[in-house]
Amino acid sequence: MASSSSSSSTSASPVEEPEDSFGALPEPILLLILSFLPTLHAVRTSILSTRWRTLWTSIGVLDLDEGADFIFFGTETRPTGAKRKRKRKGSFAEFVGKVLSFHHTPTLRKLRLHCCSQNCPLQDWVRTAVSRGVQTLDLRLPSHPNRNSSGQLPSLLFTSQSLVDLRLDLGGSALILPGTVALVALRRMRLCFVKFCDDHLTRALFSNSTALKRLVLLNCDYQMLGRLEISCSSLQELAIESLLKADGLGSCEVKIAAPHLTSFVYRASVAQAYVVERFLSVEYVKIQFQRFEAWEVLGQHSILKRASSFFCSLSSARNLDICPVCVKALRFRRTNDWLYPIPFRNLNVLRTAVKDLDYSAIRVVLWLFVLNPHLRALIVEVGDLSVLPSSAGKEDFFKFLGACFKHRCGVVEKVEIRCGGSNFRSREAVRYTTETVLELVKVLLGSQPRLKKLILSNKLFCDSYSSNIRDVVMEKVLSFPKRTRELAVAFIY
Amino acid sequence: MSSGDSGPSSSKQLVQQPAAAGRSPNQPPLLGAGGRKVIVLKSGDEEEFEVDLLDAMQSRTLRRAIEDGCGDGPMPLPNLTGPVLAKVVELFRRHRGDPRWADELQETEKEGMFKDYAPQKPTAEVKGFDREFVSVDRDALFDLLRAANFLEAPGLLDVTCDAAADAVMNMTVEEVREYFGLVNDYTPEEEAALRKQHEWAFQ
Repeated sequence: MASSSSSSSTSASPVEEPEDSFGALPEPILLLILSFLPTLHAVRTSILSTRWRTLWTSIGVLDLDEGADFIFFGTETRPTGAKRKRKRKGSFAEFVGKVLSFHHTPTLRKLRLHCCSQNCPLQDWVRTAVSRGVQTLDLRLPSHPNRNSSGQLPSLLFTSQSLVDLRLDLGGSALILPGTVALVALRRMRLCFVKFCDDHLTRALFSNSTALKRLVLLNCDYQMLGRLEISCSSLQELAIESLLKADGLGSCEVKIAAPHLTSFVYRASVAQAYVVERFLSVEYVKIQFQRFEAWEVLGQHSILKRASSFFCSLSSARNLDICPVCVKALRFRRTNDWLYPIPFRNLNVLRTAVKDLDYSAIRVVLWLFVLNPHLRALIVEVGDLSVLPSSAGKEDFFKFLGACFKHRCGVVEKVEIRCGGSNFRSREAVRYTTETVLELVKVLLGSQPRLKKLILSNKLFCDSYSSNIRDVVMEKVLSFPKRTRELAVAFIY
Repeated sequence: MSSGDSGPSSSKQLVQQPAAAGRSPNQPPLLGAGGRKVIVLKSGDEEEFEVDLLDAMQSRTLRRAIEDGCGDGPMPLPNLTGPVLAKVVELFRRHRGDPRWADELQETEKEGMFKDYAPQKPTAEVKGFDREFVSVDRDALFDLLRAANFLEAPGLLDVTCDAAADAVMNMTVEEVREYFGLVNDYTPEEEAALRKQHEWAFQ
């Protein structure tokens, strides 16, 4: 031990390093290392030495994954170096049962249980975990043959006092909730491929989780719900994402009451109606309506109306990321004068995607610009720049663009223009794309005195064989009259 | 991706150069560049490191010491060597506001001490740093593991233990014994009996 100055009176006394038969590291560290291994491998460390025989039974984390550890395709080398044949499916149930019976920690911190086969005594396992005070539970179950009836989860789970983090993947099966739900310690909940069945019980699941901070609903099925109601005063982050073909939101009303929400992500189809309280403290909002094209047949107007009413409650957003449909919805709102426009007064960062850079899309972006004098960063993603009209239309368009920006001096500091349409069919298309981008850049440089970062991302500018195009663009950009001295231009892809 | 770039810039002001030695223990905590409170950590080989008070709070051991009022003079950590402490201090700085461990910090919030500890998502930069941090040989990793155990710092523990687990994951039993410095004290009969008893795991 080095001679330390005796002047201080710190209580952080050095711990002795026991050179016992556990080896070079202290026991708590070894336990922690074991908890990062799949439990199957942790159990096998009992062969290392007699002191290690029961070491694994004290780990706080169990990681039991049938798919990774029990179903093999072909052979695999295991720690002993021997080749192992494909295992029988039934042994996973035996394995989990043994692990839970040998494992003797009163507090189980985390259980990850990914199960592929149907006939597992899951009820018992979950009950055991809850009774040992599990804090993080990550359950993935196979889809039930009868999707509407799955009594798979014990009701004890939903009254756990210790559960902090719950991840549930039911493979598309129904989530049967008990009459009483009270997850008082739960902070994070993530439900994947879950089919909700009952309006009231689903509502209770969210509103009775009084400490819930983050809720993620991923690829869930709402077909049996008339209303999805999420009212939770502690909620800060909410994400509703669904890339399923039929998520059932189209016939479902979405009601959200979360006054402390700071981040909101919605990537799903347009719901039948939105009843959303205004989120006063929301910072980040991302809206991407899915499968909008399928809806257009049914009547664009009513759907755009639904979508645009949704935006009213999000008007406090500082960082907004919206899809082409949203741009459409905002435009819709604008052109119907009986509806007042939705102002985003606090907007700092706007990221938007438009199908093609035409008059109306530009108008919406500009209009957001006009309404948001504080906008600092603008990211525009253009579907395809190369689809463009006659040369006459082009001239007009550029003129219009210039006129719009002329009298607007914003405080934008960062602009990123991303263009899709990576396969340029002709030299004409390449030329047109470059021209449009340059025109936009020229207008922006002229109107935004604080612009410091300009990012152009397109395959066109980054291909090695077209590096001359990049040089030409760069040269042009630098030759434009600009307001800022310290402008950085970057090309990325 | 995030809107503000203010997070990392303020942290850059912190330099972990050996601090000026020879201050009296009763002096109030130093003020770092930017007006932040800093404390001085002293390794076993007498090297001193300045670390932001909030960053030091990532370690439960240091937090207890600070709350007991030991943060005024250089805090001796005799079982950590200079190079290890330098790495650890750098990790604390990079993990500032990391949401993976911010929850715990917020729960212990006292008098708004962590109010500028706004959680941020771990950036690719932080993840890259973590990878780089543990790409060291076995002995260096064990030094870091012992330091993590002593300091009780969740971030440091996670990063180092994960690396050690990764290292042994695909080793043979003999290799794992060598890695941890173990001697097989089972008799062949005992080993056979254990394998039989735990057949469900050794199949």
